[in-house]
Amino acid sequence: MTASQHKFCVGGLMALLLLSSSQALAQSTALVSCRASATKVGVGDTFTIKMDAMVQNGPVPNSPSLLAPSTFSISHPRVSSRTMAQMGGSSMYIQRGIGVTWRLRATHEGKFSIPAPTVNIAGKTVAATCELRIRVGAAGSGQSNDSDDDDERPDDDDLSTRGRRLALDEAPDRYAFVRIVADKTEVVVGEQVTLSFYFYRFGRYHQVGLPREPSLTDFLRFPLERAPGVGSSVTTRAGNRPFEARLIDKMAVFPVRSGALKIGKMKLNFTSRSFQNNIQSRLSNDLTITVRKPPKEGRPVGYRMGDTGRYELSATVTPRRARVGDSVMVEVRLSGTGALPGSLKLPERVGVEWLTPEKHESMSVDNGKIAGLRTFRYAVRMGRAGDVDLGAVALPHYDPAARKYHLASVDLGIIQVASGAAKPGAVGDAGAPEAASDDDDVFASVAAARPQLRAYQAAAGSGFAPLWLWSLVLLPPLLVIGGHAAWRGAGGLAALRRRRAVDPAVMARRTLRQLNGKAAAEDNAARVERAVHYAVDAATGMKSRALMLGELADKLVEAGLSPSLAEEISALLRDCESLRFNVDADGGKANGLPARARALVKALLKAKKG
Amino acid sequence: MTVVVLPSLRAGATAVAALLATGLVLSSAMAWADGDEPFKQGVVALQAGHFEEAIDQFEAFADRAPSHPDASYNRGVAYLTRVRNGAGRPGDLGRAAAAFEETLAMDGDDAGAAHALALIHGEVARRRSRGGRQLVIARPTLDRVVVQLTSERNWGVAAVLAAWMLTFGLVLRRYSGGYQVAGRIMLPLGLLLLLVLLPVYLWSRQLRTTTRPGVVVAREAILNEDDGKRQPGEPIPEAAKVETGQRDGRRLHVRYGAREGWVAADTVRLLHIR
Repeated sequence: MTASQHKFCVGGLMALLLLSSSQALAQSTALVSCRASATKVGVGDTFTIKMDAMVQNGPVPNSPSLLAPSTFSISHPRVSSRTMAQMGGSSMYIQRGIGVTWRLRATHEGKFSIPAPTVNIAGKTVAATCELRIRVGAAGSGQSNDSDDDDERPDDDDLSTRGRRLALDEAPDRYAFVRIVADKTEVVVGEQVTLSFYFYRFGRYHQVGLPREPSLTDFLRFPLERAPGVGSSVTTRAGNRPFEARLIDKMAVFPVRSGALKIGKMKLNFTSRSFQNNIQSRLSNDLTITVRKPPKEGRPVGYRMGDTGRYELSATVTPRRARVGDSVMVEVRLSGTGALPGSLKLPERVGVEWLTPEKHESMSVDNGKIAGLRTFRYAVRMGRAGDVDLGAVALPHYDPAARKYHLASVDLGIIQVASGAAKPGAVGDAGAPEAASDDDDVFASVAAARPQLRAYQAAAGSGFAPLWLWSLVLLPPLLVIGGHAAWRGAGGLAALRRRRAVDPAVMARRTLRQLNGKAAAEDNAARVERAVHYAVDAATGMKSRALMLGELADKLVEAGLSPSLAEEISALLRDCESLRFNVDADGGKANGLPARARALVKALLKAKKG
Repeated sequence: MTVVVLPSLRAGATAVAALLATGLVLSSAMAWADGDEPFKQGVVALQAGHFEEAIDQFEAFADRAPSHPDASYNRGVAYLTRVRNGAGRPGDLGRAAAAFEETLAMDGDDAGAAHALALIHGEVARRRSRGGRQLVIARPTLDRVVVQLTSERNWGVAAVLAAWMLTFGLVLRRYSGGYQVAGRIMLPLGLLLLLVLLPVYLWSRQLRTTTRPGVVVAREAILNEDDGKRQPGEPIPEAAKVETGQRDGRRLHVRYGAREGWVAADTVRLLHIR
């Protein structure tokens, strides 16, 4: 080999080595991270530390480990597998790994640093890249426990089918609660509703005593759990927190009436060290079941509300021959699913007396449904001779699954009854027949049933519409009173107008308004004179026109006017007179008359008001 | 030549009137024909002595068809037949009484129903006394006595008449002489009557729209207070007619005479009078 060839080989080997190393490095790349759900908690509070360890094209990590200080109690880790795919250019990288969750509980106050958790990857112990510093305060001070609940939210993929079914979007309580689940919330009267009661808990809580059952006021109930309270737990989710849900009771309930019926609340007591062993109580949710009546369409005659299920009837009758007064035994067996009726409608006949039956029952659970057999044993006393047809026992019922009515029936057949006294020891014989009471004779005088329906028209309603009544009661008197008031008002208005027309004060003002600067002086003087006389009449009630001018002033003073006013009035009237009758009188006086008149009239009317 | 004979106008009018009357009767009969199959089967069953089946059929008829006095009567007879044959159940006399009360509510002149009802009340009283129970006498209060003297419509009409009397009094008072005297009498009288009759009408209407008659169909109905405590005094006997009010879940408010309270809803059957 030449030196150049040697160099080529060494270079190629080194390149190969580097390539494989890088490949190996790339292949064994691991990403290990961790985080805590809280950095501040209180004594007794729990928090989680979660680690994700992902490896690309290498062995799946294993053996996770967390060494917490002794002041924390730590639970066994919960490990789940993870797979992640990443696209890079034209390649796809698959990462596989595990997610690990430890639950820790703080027991002492202080500041603590928890070493990062570790995991084994291809034989090497790898520590997570995170810092875990926790501050523990007094009990109840764990406010920061609310931080990022998403971190501890379990993936629904990790839950079992039952766990996913029991998951809730919101947790009614952070630590524990009771939940009632119904398989259906809309049923018909008598249809089975299966109730399951679950206790959800976030920590290690222990039930104390038996739970208090819900009221179930309008329901019949049958237990479905043989050993209530001893069910297995399943991991589920409520909100973003993992809970363990345990079935504590299960029952079948049958509504006895229609309406929106409430189940009631279950109460459960529990305790835990985190509550210093004090007993805590929780009430469950209260479900409402909407119950409706079965449809009227197709409802058979004789159907009793509540007979809901799927039933079958069979019967045995012994003996088939008897004498009058004997009793025969009729055993009717009712089987099926649903709440079996407690009594049957019997084919009562004249001369056949059914005595109170003996009842036996055995109930069971068939595929989650209440089923059973109920036996009714009757003694039937024969009261008349001949071939007596006992008839058929019929039980119309509604099947909610098929949504239709069925009729379970069984024909009891014929008993041959011979006449004559009963033999001693006859089946069901309780001794001599009871002395017939005279009760049945009381109604002997009641007329027989009517064979057909006569023509009948229902009577019209006996009501009286309030609108009509109030109209007929209130309108007439109101119209009369209103009309009378309107009439009197109109008359009063006219009288007022008339009074106003002859009121001297009004006439004085009206006359003053008629003064016209363009009119002749004697006309204005006449008007002024009239206005003043009206004003005097208004102020004093005195007809001054009938008085002599010489005595006017004195009379005015006697009437209560002031002497100066009386003099002015007299002077004005004298000037008016001279202007009217003396055409050569001073024209300057004529110009001042309207103003003087207005002032005097104003003064007089003011004196009137006073 | 064709001769056409036209019927007279009178004959034609008579024929039309007869047709209309027939149509009216037929229409009322038709209202029952469609749904009276249960009634017919009930009659057949009762005649054959199958009283249980007869009861079912008449009850089915009552559920589906409009009320009819004869159907209610037959239902009462079916329950009585069960009692007479020694197969009576607790409350059968009450159910029979409810049926006969319905008959009388629809036809007050039905002597058969009145007679049967009287017999039932007598039998109930006799059984109670045989059992050492005290006789219960329910006296209606004065307001019920007054209001039930006549129907709501009649009270309304009377109130209207009183209003018109008041109106005439107001008008006549303006005149003189005899008219004025008449006005002076009619005005206060009309006002007084109106003040009395109007509240009676309103009360009658209130009762008609908020209450419904019922009959006790259990051995007895125990009256309870609002808080569920039992009232002192005797329970309401079977077959007693009560006035029912509001319903609250499984209890019903009733009034019996001067007493009122709550009873279990299934102890009272409401009368269906449609």
